Amino acid sequence: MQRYVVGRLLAVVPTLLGVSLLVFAVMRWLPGDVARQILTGGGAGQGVTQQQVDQLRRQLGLTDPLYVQYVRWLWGVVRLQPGTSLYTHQPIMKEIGARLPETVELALGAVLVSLLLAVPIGVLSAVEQDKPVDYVFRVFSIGGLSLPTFLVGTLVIFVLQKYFHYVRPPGFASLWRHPGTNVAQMIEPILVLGYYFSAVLSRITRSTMLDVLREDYVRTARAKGLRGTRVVLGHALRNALLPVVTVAGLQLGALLGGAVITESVFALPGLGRYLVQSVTQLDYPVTQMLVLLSAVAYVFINLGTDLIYAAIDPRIRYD
Amino acid sequence: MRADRGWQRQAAGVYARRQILFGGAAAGAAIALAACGGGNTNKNAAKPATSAAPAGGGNAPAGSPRAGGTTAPAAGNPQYGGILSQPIASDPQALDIHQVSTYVAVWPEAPCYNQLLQIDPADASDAKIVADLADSWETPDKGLTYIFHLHPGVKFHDGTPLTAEDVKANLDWIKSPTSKKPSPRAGVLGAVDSVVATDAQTLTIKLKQPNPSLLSNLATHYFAIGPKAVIDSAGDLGDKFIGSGPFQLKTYNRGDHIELVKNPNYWVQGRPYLDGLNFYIVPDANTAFTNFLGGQYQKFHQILHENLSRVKSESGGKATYVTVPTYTRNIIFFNTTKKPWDDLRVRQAVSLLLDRDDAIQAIDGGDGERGGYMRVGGQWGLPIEQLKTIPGYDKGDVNQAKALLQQAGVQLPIRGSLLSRNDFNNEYTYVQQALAKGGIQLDLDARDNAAAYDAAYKGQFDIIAWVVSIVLDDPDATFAEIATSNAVRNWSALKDPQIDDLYAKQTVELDYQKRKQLVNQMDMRALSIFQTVCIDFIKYNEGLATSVKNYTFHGSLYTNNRMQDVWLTK
Repeated sequence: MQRYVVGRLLAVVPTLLGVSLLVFAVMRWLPGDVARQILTGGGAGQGVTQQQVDQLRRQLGLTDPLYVQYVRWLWGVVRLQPGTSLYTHQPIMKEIGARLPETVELALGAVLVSLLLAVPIGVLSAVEQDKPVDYVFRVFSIGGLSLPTFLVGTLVIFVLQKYFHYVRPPGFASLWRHPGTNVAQMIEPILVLGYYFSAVLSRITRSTMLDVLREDYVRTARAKGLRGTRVVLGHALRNALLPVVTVAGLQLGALLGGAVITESVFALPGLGRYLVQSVTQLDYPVTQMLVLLSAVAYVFINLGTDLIYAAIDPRIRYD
Repeated sequence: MRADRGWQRQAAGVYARRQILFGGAAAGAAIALAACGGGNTNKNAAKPATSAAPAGGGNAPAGSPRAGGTTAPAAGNPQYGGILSQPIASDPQALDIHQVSTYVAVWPEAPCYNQLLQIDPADASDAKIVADLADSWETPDKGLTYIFHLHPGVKFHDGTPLTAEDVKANLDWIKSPTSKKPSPRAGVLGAVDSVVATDAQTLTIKLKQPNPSLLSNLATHYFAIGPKAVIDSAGDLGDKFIGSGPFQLKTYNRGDHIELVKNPNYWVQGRPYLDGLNFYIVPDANTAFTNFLGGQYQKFHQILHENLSRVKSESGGKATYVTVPTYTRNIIFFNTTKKPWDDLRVRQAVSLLLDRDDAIQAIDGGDGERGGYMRVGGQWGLPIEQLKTIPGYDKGDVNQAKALLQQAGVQLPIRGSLLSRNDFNNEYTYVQQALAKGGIQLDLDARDNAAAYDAAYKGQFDIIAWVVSIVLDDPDATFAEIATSNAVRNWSALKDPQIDDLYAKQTVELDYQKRKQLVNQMDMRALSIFQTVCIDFIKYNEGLATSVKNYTFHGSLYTNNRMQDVWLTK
């Protein structure tokens, strides 16, 4: 197991190098002039001259050859000093650190909600296949799949405001320092995002449960006189969980990269919004670092998922 | 030739009385708004300047009136306390107000600072300059030198005194930053030869040539004054918003909110009324608007026309809106380096195809007005009847447009690209459809902000449909931005010696009437050669809770955001 983990971690290095090269190249390929953007704030730029733009470009090191810029940035990343934002001049790690708590809370909360909804719904739908309960859950799931989160989020905000005169407290308060305010702020986005992801997971749970329930060993278990609940939860569900864990892991990885739309609709200060902002502003070092961090998150979550496989299914060994 | 002190006192007295009358009118308007609960037009927008110093120069020898604060009582019966919250679309691009160029940065930063001068907070038209840090100012040699006399006893948030050396350090930095930082308004101080701190309370600015726009610029929030010590140590104004303003920074959580609290030692007696200001960073306009209706925010920028009817009904009468004329316009640029756009008749045909009444409805839901380069109704605008003599600026005429295209000998349909920005969708959709009626078929090239600017500067277009926003109602700012040969955004690449000549004359003319005449000539010249085509000037619908008192929306987003005299009803 130890060797497997070390091997997997070593394999991360070329992956991350590839990602870093790709995102660096893509950012430089995007049209636009970051120096002009900074000087004009993306707006009018009264009095900004081409000379000023050129000077700032030189100051930002953007006139150096691309390979010099890449190596300089990569060396900073290796030392965990990826530099400062071209816009705010703040250290990038500080900027990311300020936004990380919201993103982690939203991601973990949404995945937890989705699992809590999806597994029971998927199991019940499978056990009650083609019965009214299954139809109701099917509508629930298809609704989650087909309604975009920005629409559900906007509707939730609108309905609560218009009919219940309730508006979430603005901003984002720390979970540890202001737990009450934090819950009031986060409950809506977590539920909206959790609902969306539960739709996918519940459909997967249902279909794998249906497969497993038709397996010989389930039939044998029933023939031996085991109670239905025991058969479903003790034998079938455990075997049906592997794909659910895989998808939940992928969802968590995606969310740690930032739930852009949910964060925007609910005005949450997370990494997703920061990533979009950095791309539109051509804030190269920020975008590069966020993409790299997202890749790292995926790698570790995939590794964690593999290890969970072994815990769920004793036949899986990594020796 | 220092201005007579007696005259100054007299002027201040007259002004104070006007302020009271004006304030009363504003309060009356506010009450009327609250009573009807609906929207209203900013009644003050077209008021002429009444103080000693009209913005944009004029030949005001001196000035001294102070708005609000020390000399004028606030309208109504002010109450202390309360927090005013408002959403902004993104984080400030920088925490040094000298380095920023957008309102999302100016709004949360301006309340922490003072400038030498300010635009009168009660004057929506941005036409009147009044005192701020400078109690009075004078120009002894016809605009080549300005002497400012600073208010005594002003202190920064950190307790250090504000002196002329601090003001000098700020202006010097803006003109030529000592650190490797961008200074977007370095060019605005291009006429400044030197800034001298004569003594602790006196500042002298010497110019290379008269520059009547200087005072207007100094009165915008961009010319905020921070401590010299901070500039010396940090290389800029730093990230703590240390100024002498009525509010000071308490917290800034990136991507989330900025919290300002009352400066208990503010130098203007009895101000501010509010305990604090909160700015929430909300990128989604729908969310921000819903929260405004729900009472989370007391101020909201730019309500969409289709949402106006929701303001009263969904806020339970607790919010209203004001329709404000602005210096933001929908505009067309031509790539005159390419055929057929180098032909004046073709450009004129485009102007005739854009029926202004239709356009104002289609693009702005009716919240727009005709204009040339300068806003009609502003200090420098053409009389509307004169503007309407330019083809297209009165009525559209498809047949005349087609006739002009025929005269120009172009083969119809004309094909080309229409560059625009993604978020200017109302404008580019209208333009594309309107021009198609005359046989000009343009392929839409809508890009995001950075890419659209890039294409515009590289000339990768036939026509551009854009929204241009100018900081102030100021001819220098406007023409140097889009119309002169060296204009930053002369994307039409049309270099006209007559425009340049008129620009050079008006930029040094201190007499307001003479300057206005030159500006009008310049406006007419640029319009008549269709260097650009102005579709309309946009009016913003600005949301405000009815509990907010003594606040006047300005045409500029970069003035009157200090909130010093604003108060909330309980």
